[in-house]
Amino acid sequence: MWRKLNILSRFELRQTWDDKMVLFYTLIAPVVFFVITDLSSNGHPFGVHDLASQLLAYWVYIVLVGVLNGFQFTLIGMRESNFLKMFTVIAGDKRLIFFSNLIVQVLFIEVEVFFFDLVVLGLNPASLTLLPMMAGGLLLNVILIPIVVGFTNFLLILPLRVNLVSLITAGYIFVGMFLISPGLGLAPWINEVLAAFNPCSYMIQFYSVGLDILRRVTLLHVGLLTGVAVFYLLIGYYPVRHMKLQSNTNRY
Amino acid sequence: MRIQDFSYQLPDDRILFDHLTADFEPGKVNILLGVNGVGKTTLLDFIAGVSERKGLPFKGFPEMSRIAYQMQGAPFTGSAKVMEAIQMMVNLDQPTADFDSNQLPESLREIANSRFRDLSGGQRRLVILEGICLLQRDLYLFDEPESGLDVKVAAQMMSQITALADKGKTVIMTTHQFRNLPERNVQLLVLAGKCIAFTGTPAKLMAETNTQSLEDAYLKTDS
Repeated sequence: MWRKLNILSRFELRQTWDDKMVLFYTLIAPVVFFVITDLSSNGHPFGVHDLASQLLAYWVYIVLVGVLNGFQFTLIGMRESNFLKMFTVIAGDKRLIFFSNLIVQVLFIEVEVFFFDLVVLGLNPASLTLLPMMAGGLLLNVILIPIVVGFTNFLLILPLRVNLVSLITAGYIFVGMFLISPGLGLAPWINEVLAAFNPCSYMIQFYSVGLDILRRVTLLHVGLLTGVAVFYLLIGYYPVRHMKLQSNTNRY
Repeated sequence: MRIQDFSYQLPDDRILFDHLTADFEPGKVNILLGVNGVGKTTLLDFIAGVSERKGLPFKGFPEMSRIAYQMQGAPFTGSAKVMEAIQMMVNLDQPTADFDSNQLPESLREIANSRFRDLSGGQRRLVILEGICLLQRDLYLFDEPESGLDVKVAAQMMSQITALADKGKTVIMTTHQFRNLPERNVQLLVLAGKCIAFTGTPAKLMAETNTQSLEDAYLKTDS
């Protein structure tokens, strides 16, 4: 089992690395946005006060887009091209394809967040004080990414073409990011409710609690986030077990 | 290996199989014939376990991990190299096997380091077929294996498939080609009218239909 997972992961890592376009939306786009903001704000792209919380929003974007583009679309593409069908028979279990893909994407997203942090450190010397937070963020991502995968696994059972799924996820990302915009000024309790539905709100709260950014972590907070995580890990596993091996949009 | 009294309806409500019963002989090449859309691939999907067969009347078939399934198309991303793809297939089958380029089938040596995107459609199919034949399984499923291959390579592949049966493995394959079909260890199953219309040897089919060629015999049975 572990050997097979290792073989599939190494193969998929080579395939993912070969397709450099995956880095565009998850690394190059946020870096370009950050550089433009940096230049237009005389080296203070985060403002002087909200350095940490603004950085979190970039991480949230990278993780969510990485999970959707790199993980969910890859699996849907594998299903539509019959890769999932053929290699499930060879490997003997479709979960192996799912988890090997997950391992590769966790690694890739971590690398992308790491390089993004390097750019931030290079362009904004004030962010040096955030080094411990950046290291903590990378550690938390190992737990967070599988939870976000659980939030978005519903895509695996939708009988939709890949281009329609990408359209839906573009809207999903926009709404998700919009709901964590500080300009909205949502009451804290609304943000806590949103954490149960919006992966972006969940991630913000997860980082805030995990890195103790707001300095007001309560047991209730931790319990709420753990409950939501357990829920999505369990619910998210259902589509994996029930995901069709054959194309959802063609007979074969 | 037996499918007994199996009925199946497509999502668009068309009935594909109506009380279908089929017997596949172990250690033989079982050739499934039938017109396009008659359900050959659907049947292979059920036999492989790709479509859930739990609770369905499929008796004596091995579990998925003992089956090798070559399906239509070559589902690899363009960046995969031939050697990497074959290595992965063999290693997933025999995780402790140390597969190197010397063990690569003769037909693939020249393209061992080529990427899938640089191969022709026929070459891609050949890679998958060779990879499937390298797996150590009990049951081999081939879905139109000769499709897209040139005459020479198709004949080579067919003799490799026959060799699997000679080693005691069970093969179930679909085809639309009558050229190069194996001559020994063969059983034909004609899928027509939502069920198996004929089961037996090519000689029996020709005798029953009073024809001189297998192609004519098949056409007569199918009509």
